[in-house]
Amino acid sequence: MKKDDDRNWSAYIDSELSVSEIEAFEAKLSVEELEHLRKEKAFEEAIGSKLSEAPCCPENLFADVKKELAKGTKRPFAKYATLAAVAIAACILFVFLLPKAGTTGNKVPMTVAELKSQSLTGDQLDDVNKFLSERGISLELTSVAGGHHAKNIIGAGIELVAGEDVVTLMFTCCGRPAKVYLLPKGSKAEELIVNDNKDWKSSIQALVKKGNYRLAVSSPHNSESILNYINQS
Amino acid sequence: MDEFLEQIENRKDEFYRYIYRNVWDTSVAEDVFSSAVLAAYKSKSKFKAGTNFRAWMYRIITNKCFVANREISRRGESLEEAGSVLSSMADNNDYSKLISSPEDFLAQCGDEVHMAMKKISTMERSCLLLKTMENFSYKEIASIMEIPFGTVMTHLARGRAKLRKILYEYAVGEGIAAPQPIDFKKGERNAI
Repeated sequence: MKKDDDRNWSAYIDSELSVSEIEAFEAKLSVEELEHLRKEKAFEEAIGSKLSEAPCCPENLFADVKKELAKGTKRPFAKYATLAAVAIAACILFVFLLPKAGTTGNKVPMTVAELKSQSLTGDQLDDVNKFLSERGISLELTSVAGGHHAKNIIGAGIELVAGEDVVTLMFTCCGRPAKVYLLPKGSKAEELIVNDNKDWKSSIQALVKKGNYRLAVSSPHNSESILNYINQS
Repeated sequence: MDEFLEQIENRKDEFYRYIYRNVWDTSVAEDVFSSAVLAAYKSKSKFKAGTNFRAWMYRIITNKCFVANREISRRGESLEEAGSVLSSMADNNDYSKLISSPEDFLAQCGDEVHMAMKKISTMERSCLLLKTMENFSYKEIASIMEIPFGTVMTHLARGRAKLRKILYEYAVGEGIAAPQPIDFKKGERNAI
């Protein structure tokens, strides 16, 4: 067994070698290499945890599948149906909503200027956290510095969703606008965004639960990682 | 509710998470999830009671992910030699130091882990997710992916080597680690 074969290293990290293979493999390694492999194992576990930080199955998705099964009809999710729906939605958005983008604010944010106009606070971390604290929201924003995507805070605001005031946090991510909705669990706004409205469904990139809130991010750019910076206070 | 659907519902978050990390798009992930559940239900008579339901579902889900990622011809995929990148990285002090605090290093990498997973092939990514995230054994992965055991080893080794190379290069680019590039093909280090 060659000690420098990646397959053996990989299998060793995964504890997939037999006892005799482990003995033969370890016999060819130096103390430093064995120590390095111990670190690789821990690194692999950390990568696994990082990858597991993915959104849960949307609550309405499984219910929809069950409904389809109950109907006994041919599956509605044809190969390109979603892509076609997204394309149609994008066209509708472009034709009808773009001219009103500055006033609607309840779909994917179109411009940074639009978000700036909706902000009720300064663009500093403390401004946003003070805004949250004053409204009794048990969430706080941590510094958005660093990471692969350059992020900046625009501010925080309030938006009417399903007849309820919903606090929103606004950012730029790689220069593109991104908005996060802080939806109190069990609220009508949460119900609307998560379960009911197809327009909202196509606008929201990711949903996560944090304390008594569900966070929903909307952006024309992949800004899901912003949700990692908002945590329970 | 039907017992079969109940088993799927109990694991729906786990299945969705795997799909999401494999196809990287919410709308595609939802489509794959729906079509996989419908396909599983349609062929539930083929599932043998007492066998591994979870692995059976992952086989269906993984096939759907391949279709979504447009990489269906996996059996014809040529495999490069696995090389010796992982072993040569053990000699790289900077890299070794970085992974001494894995959580800190990954926190510094931010989204790069996810970006790196997108850059590797669906085959490598699926093997890595099934092992690292879902904790299947090599034998189970071989059965799920319908490929030989040795091929699973190769895909995992290549996927891991690529992932580490991308993360290390990112760390160098960001000034987290000193430049000490690795020749991916040969696994040779070229200290600068």
